[in-house]
Amino acid sequence: MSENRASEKSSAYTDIDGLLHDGGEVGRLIRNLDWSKTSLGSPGRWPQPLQTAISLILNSRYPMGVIWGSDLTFFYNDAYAPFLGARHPEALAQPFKDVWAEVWDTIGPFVDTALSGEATWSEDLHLVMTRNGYPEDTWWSFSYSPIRDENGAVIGLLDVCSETTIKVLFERRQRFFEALSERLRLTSKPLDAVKVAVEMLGRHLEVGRCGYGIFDELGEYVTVMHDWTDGIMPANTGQQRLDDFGMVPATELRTGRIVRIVDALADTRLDAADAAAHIAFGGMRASLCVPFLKDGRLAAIMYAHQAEPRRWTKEEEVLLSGVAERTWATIERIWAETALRASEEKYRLIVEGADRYAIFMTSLDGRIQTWNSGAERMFGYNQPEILNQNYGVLFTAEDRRAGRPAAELQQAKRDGTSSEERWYARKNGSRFWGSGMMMSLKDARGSTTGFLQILRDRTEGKRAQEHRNLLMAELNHRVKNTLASIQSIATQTIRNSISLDEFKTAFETRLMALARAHDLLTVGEWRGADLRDLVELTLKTFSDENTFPRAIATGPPVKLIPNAAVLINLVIHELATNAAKYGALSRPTGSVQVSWEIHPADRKRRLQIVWEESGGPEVTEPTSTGFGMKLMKRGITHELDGEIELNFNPQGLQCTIFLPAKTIVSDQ
Amino acid sequence: MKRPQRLHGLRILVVEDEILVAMILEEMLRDLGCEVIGPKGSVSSALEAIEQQNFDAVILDVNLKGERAEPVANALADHGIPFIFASGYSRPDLPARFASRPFLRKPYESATLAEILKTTLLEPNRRQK
Repeated sequence: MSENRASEKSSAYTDIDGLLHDGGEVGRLIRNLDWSKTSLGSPGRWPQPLQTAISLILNSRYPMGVIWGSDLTFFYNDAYAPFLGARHPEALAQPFKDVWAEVWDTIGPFVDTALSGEATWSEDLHLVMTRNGYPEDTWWSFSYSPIRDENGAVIGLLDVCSETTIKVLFERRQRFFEALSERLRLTSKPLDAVKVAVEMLGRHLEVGRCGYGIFDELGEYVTVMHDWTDGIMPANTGQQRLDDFGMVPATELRTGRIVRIVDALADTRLDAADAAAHIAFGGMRASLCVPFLKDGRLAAIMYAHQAEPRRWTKEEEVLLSGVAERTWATIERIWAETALRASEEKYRLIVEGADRYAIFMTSLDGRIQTWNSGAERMFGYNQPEILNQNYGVLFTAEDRRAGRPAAELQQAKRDGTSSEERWYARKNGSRFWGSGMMMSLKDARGSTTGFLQILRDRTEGKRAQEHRNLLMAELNHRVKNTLASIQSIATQTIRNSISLDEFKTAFETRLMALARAHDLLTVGEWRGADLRDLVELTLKTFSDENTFPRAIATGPPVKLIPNAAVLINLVIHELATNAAKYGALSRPTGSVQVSWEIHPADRKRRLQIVWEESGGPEVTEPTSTGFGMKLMKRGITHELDGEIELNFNPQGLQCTIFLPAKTIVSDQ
Repeated sequence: MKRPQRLHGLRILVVEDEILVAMILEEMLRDLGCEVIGPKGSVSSALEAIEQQNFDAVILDVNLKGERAEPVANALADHGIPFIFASGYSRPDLPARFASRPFLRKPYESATLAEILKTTLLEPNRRQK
């Protein structure tokens, strides 16, 4: 370089184009600047170190600057230009101290240090800049390095610099969100979550007021749930009509967009009334508001208010949105947990309270894992003794041997459920008829993890059913036997009748006699019928009121067992029929006396019944025995194991019947 | 045991406690040409009659004055005497041993009675008639 010193001037001029070549926008600016009025003079005459430094920064894509001479004349490159905001390009070749006047207190000492020959390094230095006409929080990492002349004296500084605002804000936001989440996680009530969120956000943003409001069903009125204030702005209470704060912002919120108002008094979206509403709302000039839509409807808002106009930054918007999202997520989490707890509690109460149902769960291989009070009551096992036992112990020994417990699990696993009705074994060995079902329990992937069994003790129902079946069978049996009896009466009446009329009368009266006996037995619930009732009812059908009492019944109270009652009734009927046709009741003067007595000492002849006719026509012994006579004789002896004697006395028929003790209902 | 060729002349013991039912059965059996023995109305009297063995077959009511007729059925089976159960129950609760026995339902029908008697008592080649 020294050999060029003689021709320094001319060569420098020649070099200036090369020097500023590819210097970008700033390079052009330097070339076009009128340097004659500056202390540095035209670029071609600049000292070599300055030319080298300028060339270095203009050819770099990294933000850099050069601070030169006692005036601290500032050069920068294109990459640095955005840092200057509105000050670019006027800042070029201006004193560094004037360019960054608002932060000079902070950076001045670093410049001095570098000028004294010591390079500086600052990382994430906070600077409040007004480069865009308003104060901005910015962060910077930069280094000032001295540039020396050939004598070693510092004649300028190289400024290598980067704005770290975005990185710093991001890290601060992350830390804030982490702290917020940590505190929200511990809340168990929606209001607590809201209080935590708005206070943290309010302090972080240093706003006048920060709050959370929820909307009515129609999204018309907002009720402030809680708001935090800086102690200067008043707190909000009560309901506000959203539209009162301006239709435009209201619509924005309803469509899910953030509303940012820098100054209500200067916002063109608001008319005078809207603006007045803002001011009336605790002196609010600026606001930032994030909506929360649920099912497409405005459900809640989170807001930051300021009594002074405030230019909300993108970062503040991001923060508010982030806090709002986390708050809503927390509230939903709390609701879900509350609902889950309520539902779990409800189910627990149901399962515990359902003591008429045995409800228990088993593992895949049938080991019992839960056991409710109903199960304890039904089976007699308490929880400690039954848990982890195979549920097969609840089955009867036969069912266990037949492999029913395992088969049931298989079926429930295959079909999802299995219903069963069977005898179960209690702890004390007794049995009950259980009716219930088993369901397979599946995990999220659909594989069976165990089984739920619900059982009811239906023993009473089972016994009632069995009893009903028995009664039905018994009734059927009785009806069939009665039909067989009627069949017998019909067949034999027809064989002993000479005309249809005769058959009809004889059959009908016998059928009616049978019906009377059944009526009496029904009244006595088929335990027995009173002998006097039987006799008197039969006699009544054969005597009219004018001639009564032509037939008299006398004797102690006696109750006959059902088949004895039916048969004795038929016998009395046959005797009366015979009397009405041929005997005492065929004449107005005739009469019948029926009497009976009990012989307590005689088992075979416990009851003696005597039928005695008098006043009728002279009696002759019949030459042939009809159905009636056969029925009487054989019925008493065959069916009742009794005895019957018929005396055809000329003055009147006499019939004596002896019945054994077993034909009499003993509980009389 | 040699089987008879026809119903006529067969002696049938009727074990039935209700006299009206016994009487219609007697009538029907007589109409078929059979001779009626009994009727017997209790387990004990039926067992006594079996000792006499003066009959070819038995019609046995399942219930006899509140007693089950099983002892009678057992005795008949032990003696190899053919018998037919009779009952008002549509499906009497019989021991497994007798589950396949012929069974006559009340009320009786002459034709059914004849059919069951033939199937139970007669030589197979005579049953068609």
